[in-house]
Amino acid sequence: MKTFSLENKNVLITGASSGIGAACSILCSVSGANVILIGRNQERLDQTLKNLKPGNHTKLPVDLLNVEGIEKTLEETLKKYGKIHGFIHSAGLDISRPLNSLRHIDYQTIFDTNVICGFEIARILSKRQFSPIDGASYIFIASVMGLAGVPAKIAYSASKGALLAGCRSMALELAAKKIRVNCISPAIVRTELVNKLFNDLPEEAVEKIKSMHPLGFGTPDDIANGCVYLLSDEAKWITGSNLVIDGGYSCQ
Amino acid sequence: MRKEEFYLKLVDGLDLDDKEINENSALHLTSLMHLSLISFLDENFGIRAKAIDLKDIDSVAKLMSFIGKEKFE
Repeated sequence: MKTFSLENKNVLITGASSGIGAACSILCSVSGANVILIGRNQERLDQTLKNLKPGNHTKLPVDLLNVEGIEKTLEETLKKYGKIHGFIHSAGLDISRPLNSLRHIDYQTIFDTNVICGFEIARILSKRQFSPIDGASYIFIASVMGLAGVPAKIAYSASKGALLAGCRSMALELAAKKIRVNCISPAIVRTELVNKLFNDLPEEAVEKIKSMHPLGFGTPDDIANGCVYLLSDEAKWITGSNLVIDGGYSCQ
Repeated sequence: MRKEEFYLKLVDGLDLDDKEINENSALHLTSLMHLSLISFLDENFGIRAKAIDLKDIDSVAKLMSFIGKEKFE
């Protein structure tokens, strides 16, 4: 089967140690890209690295909560690669707490990881020294919860809504450099993070969530396929958009 | 923790209708209140509970047993 080609492209992926980020890393390598994996957990990054199709891949253990330290760490590695053709910001935290249980630190932590560090990395990658003359593609993994409300998801949905809004402005700003900026909004994808969250919910709540997905829960590969398309040259006229991949969740 | 302090914190943490509770009070927890209780236990007692651990808690007394009677004075 012909897939979208990422041959000769360097792609940087956050959250690469598990879930959607790991699936994106593997599929990008299968599509021909050299992948720079970013994540906190060294052992799990090694695991993802092992699963990649051979290429000029590398890992970069970075704690994205240390927003200030990202630039220095990244630049050293990026200099070795030269230009970066693709970026997927898949790192994400989720906190399921009702309003009365949320604290300032919860909002701060979730926005630092889900939004600010992604935008910071985009800022660094969009510098002339790392930005290819024929353009690049940045993808932020948002969520349908950035579009529709869900109880106990105030901090999370606010962060994903911020990604959607910021992505549109970034797309306008970076169009002059031929850098395309898009979001992908998944509904519930069965990752370890989601399984952990489900353990904190009553059984009937999990069943209710399941019933809201006409095509059932998604898999990380469902999202990775969308990412490879948006990174590829076939998507060269798409920017500032939000690709909703949700098994029909938002039809209702 | 003193019991009186615990009752006050629980009323606030779960936003209970009944503002004066004690060991004999019933707890009718909604799914959102389960999530608040998980945060409450983590913040006040360092207990990382899961919803499934809390499903049978329907009174303040049962909650205090879950936390551990020795934690109260």
